[in-house]
Amino acid sequence: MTARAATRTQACSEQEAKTRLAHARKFLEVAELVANQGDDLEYSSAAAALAVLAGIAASDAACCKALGRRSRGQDHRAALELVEQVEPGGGNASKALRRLLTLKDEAHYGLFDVSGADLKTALRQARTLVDFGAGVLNR
Amino acid sequence: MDVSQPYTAICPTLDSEVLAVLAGTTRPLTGREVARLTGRTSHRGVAEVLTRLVEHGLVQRQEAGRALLFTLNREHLAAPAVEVLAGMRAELIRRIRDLVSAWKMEATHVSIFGSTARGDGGTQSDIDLFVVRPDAVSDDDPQWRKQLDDLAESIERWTGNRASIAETAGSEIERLLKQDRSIVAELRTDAISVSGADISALLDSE
Repeated sequence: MTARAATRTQACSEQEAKTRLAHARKFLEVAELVANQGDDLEYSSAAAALAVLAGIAASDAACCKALGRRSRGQDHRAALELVEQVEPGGGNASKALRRLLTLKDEAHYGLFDVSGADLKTALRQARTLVDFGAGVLNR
Repeated sequence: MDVSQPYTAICPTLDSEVLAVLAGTTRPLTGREVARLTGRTSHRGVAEVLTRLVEHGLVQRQEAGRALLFTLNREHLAAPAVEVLAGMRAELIRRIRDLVSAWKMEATHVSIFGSTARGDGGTQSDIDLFVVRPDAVSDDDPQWRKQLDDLAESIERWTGNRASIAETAGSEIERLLKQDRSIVAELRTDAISVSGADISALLDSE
């Protein structure tokens, strides 16, 4: 049985799910635009940061729609636990989000200089999560 | 079918709404949470449905302090049927996407909009599609027209609803943006892109 981490989550509505998915799409769109600006480390790092935001917003959207709850603030573990509980497809979404959050954690230690390969991975994970979020809202 | 709640074609009661919510998560939910996710303000009807479903073994109930938590029993013989019913709207979108992606004459863009995209239609609602034709293709090209006719007929067979296709050429999008603001507003807010460029990128590029 999965523990209910009520204190680390907050209630949210279907309307919020739609808003968060719109955010996610826009973050990803801008991430892809920035990624296409050039190979400079500054561009790829900024694009990766936006990809992380897209992934988090898309996960929130899926959770708001399917569970009526999303994680609070910076609590990554709660976010991963929650999105994993969305059916079907929550397991894969949780893995994609975990990879994006690892990238975000590294940023806290000043290591957010993202290589081209890492950026491609981040954009792919973000796209996976945006498609997942859209799929949950379309059920 | 009712495009907002396709499962009511098989089970037109609150039971199907409750089951669709439980099929969407492995998280144990309280009765009040289930009621909120079904969009109901009254908890009583949902509680009665949950009690009945627990009696049939299709829903599992556990105690957590003073609360009762409910989950779909995914090992129940009826669980696969519930999952199919809960996924009907996603299945419709998948079928449209598959059919359009097999077109020999590729569209610049195809999306679903209107009530089907918003999830607020009914059994009488049209299923609205927005199709952007490549400029190189004439609007009376027989192959192109056949693709659109096949799509409309397939949707009607799959759902019982009429498909309404709004078609434009790529070069006419700019004019559409200026002339028909209502459809553009609907597309921006709710459209689900099924093929080609994302709808917002397409509209913003003009």
